Amino acid sequence: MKKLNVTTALIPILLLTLVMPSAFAAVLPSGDEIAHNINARDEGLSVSRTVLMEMTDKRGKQRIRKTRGFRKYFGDEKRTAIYYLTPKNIKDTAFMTYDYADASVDDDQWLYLPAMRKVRRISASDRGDYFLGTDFTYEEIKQETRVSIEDYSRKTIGKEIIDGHSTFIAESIPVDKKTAKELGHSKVTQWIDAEIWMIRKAEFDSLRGKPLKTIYTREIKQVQEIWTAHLLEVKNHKTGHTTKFIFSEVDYQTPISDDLFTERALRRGL
Amino acid sequence: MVYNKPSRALLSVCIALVSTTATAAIDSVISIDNEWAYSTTEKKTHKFETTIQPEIEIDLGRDTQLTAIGRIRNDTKNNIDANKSTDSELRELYIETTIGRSFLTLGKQQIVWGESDGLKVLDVVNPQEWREFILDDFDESRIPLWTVNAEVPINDFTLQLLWIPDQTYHKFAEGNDLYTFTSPQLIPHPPPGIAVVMAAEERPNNTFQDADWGARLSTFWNGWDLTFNYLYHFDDNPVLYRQLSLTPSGPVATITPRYERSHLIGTTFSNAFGSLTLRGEVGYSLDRYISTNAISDNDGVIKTNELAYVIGLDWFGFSDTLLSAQIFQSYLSNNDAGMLRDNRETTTTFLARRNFINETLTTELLWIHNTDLNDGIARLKVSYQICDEITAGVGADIFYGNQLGLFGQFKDRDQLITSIEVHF
Repeated sequence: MKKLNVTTALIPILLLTLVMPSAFAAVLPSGDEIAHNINARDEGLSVSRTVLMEMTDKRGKQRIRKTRGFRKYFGDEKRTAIYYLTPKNIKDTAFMTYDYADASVDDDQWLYLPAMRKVRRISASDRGDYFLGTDFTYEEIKQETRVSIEDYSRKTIGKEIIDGHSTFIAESIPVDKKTAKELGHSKVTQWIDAEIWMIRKAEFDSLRGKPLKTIYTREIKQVQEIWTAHLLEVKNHKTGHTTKFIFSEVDYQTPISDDLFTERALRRGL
Repeated sequence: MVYNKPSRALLSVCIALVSTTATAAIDSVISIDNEWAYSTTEKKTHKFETTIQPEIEIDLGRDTQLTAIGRIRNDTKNNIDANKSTDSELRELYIETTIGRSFLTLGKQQIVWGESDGLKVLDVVNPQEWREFILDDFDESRIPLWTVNAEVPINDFTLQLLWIPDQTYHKFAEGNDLYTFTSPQLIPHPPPGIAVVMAAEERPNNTFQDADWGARLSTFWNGWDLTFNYLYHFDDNPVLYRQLSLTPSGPVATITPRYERSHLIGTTFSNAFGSLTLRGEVGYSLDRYISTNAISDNDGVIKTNELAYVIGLDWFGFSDTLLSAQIFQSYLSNNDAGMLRDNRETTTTFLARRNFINETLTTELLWIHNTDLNDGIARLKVSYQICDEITAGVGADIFYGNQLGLFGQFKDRDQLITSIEVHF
């Protein structure tokens, strides 16, 4: 047998080593491609669902809200309405947002507070504020399982198996300091399911670069052939507070009246 | 409790609809609110009041719902209302239903117009109970009225039509009640030597002819929430007509309270610009009547028109924080000497509210200041949600200014407050 020359044997390995990173990178979609795939995922023209919001502080004290939520596309414009059913002290509180396709146009948002019996216009620019005592921001409530294309620059940094599912890991940095301040974080690292383009996990860093919160998307099942998360769980690392959104009675097919997305509907409630 | 004919008719409709319902989903809540107020000037408790408010909603099917809200109040100190420590009432009783895309609300209810907080220009459809001056939430002090309320969508507009056959007007504190008005800006004071005789109040009593009517057209246009309002109503403040006469015992002024019609035309607007929300309301009232102290005036009142507006700015620039400022101005078309109020009034408000700990802890400062008489009130409040059912709070109400003013007249009513609210 001819003795193998060590140098000759190493050349292919070295070549392979040099080629592998670029070859591996070639199979990873770019951050923007992933974002577009996430947003291209079918989420139905409209949906209605019941959302149980469980909020637990670091001492274990729990508050529970039951809501009924509706979302509907009017062309490129997305309208969302959330009606509180329980507990008694905030029953009939309602929130509505109009999200316009033109990103340069601010969303319009309204809040109905039953104690005032008035629908109040609220500013949509503080999208990093937490939504009605939860650990989700107004922006996250609006985006649901989608992402904002124009707010971030993105890169894909790897792949990982999460809960038995293959995911791409994407790092998103707000495009500028103003956007970061509005959103309330300096970086988001997301684990995106490589098959169904659903974000399974997202870690947020605070404006100071410290761990802020982690969102888990769980119990992803098909409803009327649309992949649907039935549990969103967020843990705030700064406060120890956690919020769970548990979805049920999800319906993409029953028509939703346009009138549900009006001020008078907000006042009247469900 | 006394109901006039249309009120009885509306009540009958409510009862008939409920009684024809075989199976109905019922949702109920009872709120219990206890408030203890300690007077810092008199160094004593001047209010220890418990309010129980049961509320029931019955789903009658076919998009129809009945709501009934009652209220029982007991103040063990007997100061707020010197004549009775306990009162109970059916606050609201109404049926809501849909006819096509239109909403119909029938019964005793509150109608809230306007965009301002703590100030009223267009929020005058319902009268107000002044039992605790302006310290009660408007939701509590507004007096619900028997009303037919229809909301009809027309293209991009919603037309609200109101018919209010209920002749209930403002209820004021009286006599030794804690918040009885004394300001000469509100109560005419005859010159020394003239005796005053109060005649019986003359109230409208023709339920159809004397009903109030209203309409509001609202729309969302280019980012603006807009409404256009009209109300043909009896002003909820009685006009204090004066008749001077000479009697053997000397000159006498006979005061006859009488309610007068007024037309109110108004508009509201609101929009958001970045972190700022602009909101406002404007109202023009025809045929207002202002008391005058001028002896030469025949009936002691001056007929005038009034333009009033509120402009407010809400700023959401800090996380979990609201900073809000409002200016209110009212102009009278008349400026006769002797009129109890100036022909221009200006009031400003400032509100700072911040939420902590996932909105379980809320701190709030509300400052209302009348720039004409430099009087006002500062209200501080801290509330904590112990759990979903229980909220506790502490606060302080501080009046200041001279006793001629609306707020200054209560400058010896400063108070510290603790409160606890339970919902189950």
